[in-house]
Amino acid sequence: MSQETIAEERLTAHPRGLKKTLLDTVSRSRFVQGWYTLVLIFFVFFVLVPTLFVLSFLYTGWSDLQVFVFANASVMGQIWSAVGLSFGVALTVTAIDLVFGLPLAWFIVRRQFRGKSILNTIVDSPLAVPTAGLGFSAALFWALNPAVKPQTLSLNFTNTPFVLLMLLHFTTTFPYMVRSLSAILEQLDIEYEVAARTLGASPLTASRTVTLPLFRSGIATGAILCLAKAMSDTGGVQAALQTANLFAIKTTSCSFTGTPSGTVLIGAWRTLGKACPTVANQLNAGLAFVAILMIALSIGLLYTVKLVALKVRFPLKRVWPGPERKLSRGTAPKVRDLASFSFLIFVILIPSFFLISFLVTGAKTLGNPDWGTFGSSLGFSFLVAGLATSIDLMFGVPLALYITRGPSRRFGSLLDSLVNIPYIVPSAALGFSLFLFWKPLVDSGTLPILAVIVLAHVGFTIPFVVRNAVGALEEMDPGLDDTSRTLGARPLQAFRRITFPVVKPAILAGSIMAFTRSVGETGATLAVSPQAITAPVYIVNLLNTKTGNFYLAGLSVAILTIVSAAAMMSMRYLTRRAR
Amino acid sequence: MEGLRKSFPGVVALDGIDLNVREGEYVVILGPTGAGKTTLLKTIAGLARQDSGHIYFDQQRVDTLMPFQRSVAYLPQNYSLFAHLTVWENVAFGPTVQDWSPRRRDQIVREMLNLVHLSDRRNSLPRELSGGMQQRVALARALATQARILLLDEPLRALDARLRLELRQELRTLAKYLGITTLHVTHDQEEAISVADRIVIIRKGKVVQAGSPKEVYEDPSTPFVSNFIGEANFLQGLLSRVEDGFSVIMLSDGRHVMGRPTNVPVNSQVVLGVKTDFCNVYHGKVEGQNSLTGTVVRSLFTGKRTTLEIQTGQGLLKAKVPSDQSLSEGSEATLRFQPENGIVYAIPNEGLQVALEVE
Repeated sequence: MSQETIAEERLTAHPRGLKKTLLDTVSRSRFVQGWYTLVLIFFVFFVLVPTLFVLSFLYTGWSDLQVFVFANASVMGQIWSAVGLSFGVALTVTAIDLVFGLPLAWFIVRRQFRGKSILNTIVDSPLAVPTAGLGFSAALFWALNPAVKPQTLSLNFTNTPFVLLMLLHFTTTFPYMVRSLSAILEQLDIEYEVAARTLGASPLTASRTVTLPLFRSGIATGAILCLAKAMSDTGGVQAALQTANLFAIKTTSCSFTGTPSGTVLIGAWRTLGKACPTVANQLNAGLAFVAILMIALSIGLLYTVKLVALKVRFPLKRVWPGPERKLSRGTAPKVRDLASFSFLIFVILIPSFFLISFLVTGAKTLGNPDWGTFGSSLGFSFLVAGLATSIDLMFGVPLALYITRGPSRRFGSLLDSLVNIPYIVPSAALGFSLFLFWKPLVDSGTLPILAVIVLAHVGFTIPFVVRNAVGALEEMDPGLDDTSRTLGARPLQAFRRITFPVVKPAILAGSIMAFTRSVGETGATLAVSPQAITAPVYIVNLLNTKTGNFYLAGLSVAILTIVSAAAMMSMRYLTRRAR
Repeated sequence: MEGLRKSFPGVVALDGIDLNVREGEYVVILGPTGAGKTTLLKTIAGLARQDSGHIYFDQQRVDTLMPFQRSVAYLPQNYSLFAHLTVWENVAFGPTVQDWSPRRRDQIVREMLNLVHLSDRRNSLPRELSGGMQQRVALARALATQARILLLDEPLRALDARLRLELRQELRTLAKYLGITTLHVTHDQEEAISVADRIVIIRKGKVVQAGSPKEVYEDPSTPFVSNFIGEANFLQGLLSRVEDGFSVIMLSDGRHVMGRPTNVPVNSQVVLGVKTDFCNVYHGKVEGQNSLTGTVVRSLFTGKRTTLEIQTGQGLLKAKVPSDQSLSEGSEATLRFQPENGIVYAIPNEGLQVALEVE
């Protein structure tokens, strides 16, 4: 082609008219910066600050705290036992999850067998059940004196809250543990282990001294996910305690009976505060203190776990070749695998889905089912989840872009760890904090309560979108974006045509996780407004010895499970197609 | 394109680079890994921003423009083909985002695919193509934007040796046929010599020498260039006098060698560099001008030529000789070279070893 035609082509080589003006406007660096600023402002002032706002109560409500909380031994006792229960259970559960999860993850990743993907799905399956459902189901299976007639197969095992909640949280956390462990294990090259074994190490020694130390980040993520999930859970705990007859809110006497966890205490006091305006101030001070405690302790605990898992040197180098060789052979590995699988079946799967037995064999007393309220609660749940997920996408994706591609790497990684805070903070504490933050605007009628609920859900779901998008963007070859821009693409075009298609599956998967998490959430909603009836709140309310309807609750759980399962299936399909 | 200059007074930087490239010229930027070659290309493309200095295309300053306004086609090391688009869509990407008329777009894409012989693979996805084909798609994609300047970042790096030889000539032919100004970055001196109109050698962010392949090969301006383009032996000594138009250098053992005239003052320490290609080796001890005797310690057969390593009083010296003149290890040998091939440099301030380091 001659020089003249090239020059001629150049003249027509740029977009024309309105499209050009529009593209040029949004591609201008000032516009891009403006958009980033907006996103940062949103994150800081609508997510981060409201999440931690309750901490300011230490300053503004100090006198209330002194009068109503510190001076009141019974309130202090309730707070300490609740917070202690939450943290004790979370730590125990995480440790045991690790013990049984590691062999299972190892088995799934390292062994080749038919039905691997089926096993994967089975391990993940409890995630489809909303936690309120898991609480109900697990309590039916384990509790000594459940509120409904014991089922034929139930174990009638315990009525100690600590043990019951521990058993419940295995079902809510174990999938997270196995999943994060196997994700990291998948990336670790088996060659290291092979090399160690050709050098004479037994399988146990090889995996313990070579693979395990490379594995710390997986253990850290798994442990953090489990801890956060177990501490955060409200719906499951409340459902389990109520089903086991260990907890009940009595609005008539403005009190509750039994031993709640920290998050359930928040929900209970919020409910009582609405029902009994006379003690509202007192309860508010107590609530603020529980929320502060839970926020501070959870952030502290999780950073400690991270530090311990990543920095502390375990004495892994010592080797006992004889005993380890013996343990690697014969019955020991079989016993180990058998123990893991028994744990999976008897502690995770059966309790998670024991509800089915109740639905089939239980007394089908539907009474006078209020399907209208159930329908509207389901609708409300989807509305909240839909809005929250849309906002997650709108701000989470640019935030991820800023973290990975922004001007300052340091600021990016700071932002990256800040994004996790709303996820780590127990969602009920987050909800209460948001309630306090937006209270003036809500009271004056400027801001509908729905907006606060949605913002609370954005808080604990946006990390899913940001995390996934950051992961995908970091894996993506930055050369793609660069190249497209030298080929003449404006920044917006480069994003739309190149970056977005590449990271789309990850973002979609993240938003589906956000959506299902939001649909299953109880604590945050209750803490913002006890009157807002989302589907899980509706279910928890049904699980009430006096006024409740257990069978209807069971059916609602089943419906919600089917919806979540469908969402999870589509997520699997999407992520698989991406590969 | 005129007056290309920029400086990054940073760590991994371009340390004040001045460069003029003529329209249609094929320039190879040659330098060791970490010399700042990729940074230079990215700065020209607008993907990285210089701390100071300016870039001009046709006297027009472009360094404030965004990449899409510069009309520069950049081909990154790993091609960065868009994995979710077909070959055709990849090549059509530039014309599409620049909103050309569909007729023009299709015409140019067809033309470019013909040019790189990939018309029959237009509906394939990049991962279904071989490495060489991927490279050609990336090239077609870059050329389809009708950019004035083509930037190639180690374009042949990921290919196997034989394909590399084939494709490097194809690249040059194509660039010349389209009359596009090309900057080709590489660390492979052989590749540079075989395709360039002009070679620009950079090291630690600075231009060390720029010139035709013949110039940089035969008249290297520093010991580094001398050793980097081909391989050289170095002899250190005192420049004692100038005789018959040649420099006479006294070595540490008191013997003399002669090299090209130099503007280094007499009686200063100098280093004489001579390409291993220009060294001859004789069996036994041979007296005469520019001869150094020692023992063959290693003989490396590489086909037509053999590299002999000879331990002499002046250290280990190498010579690339025709294989039929090879000597066996352990035999006595004399290495000789013509005074015209010995280039005399002042001793580098940082010491010879540091001056030769490739990193």
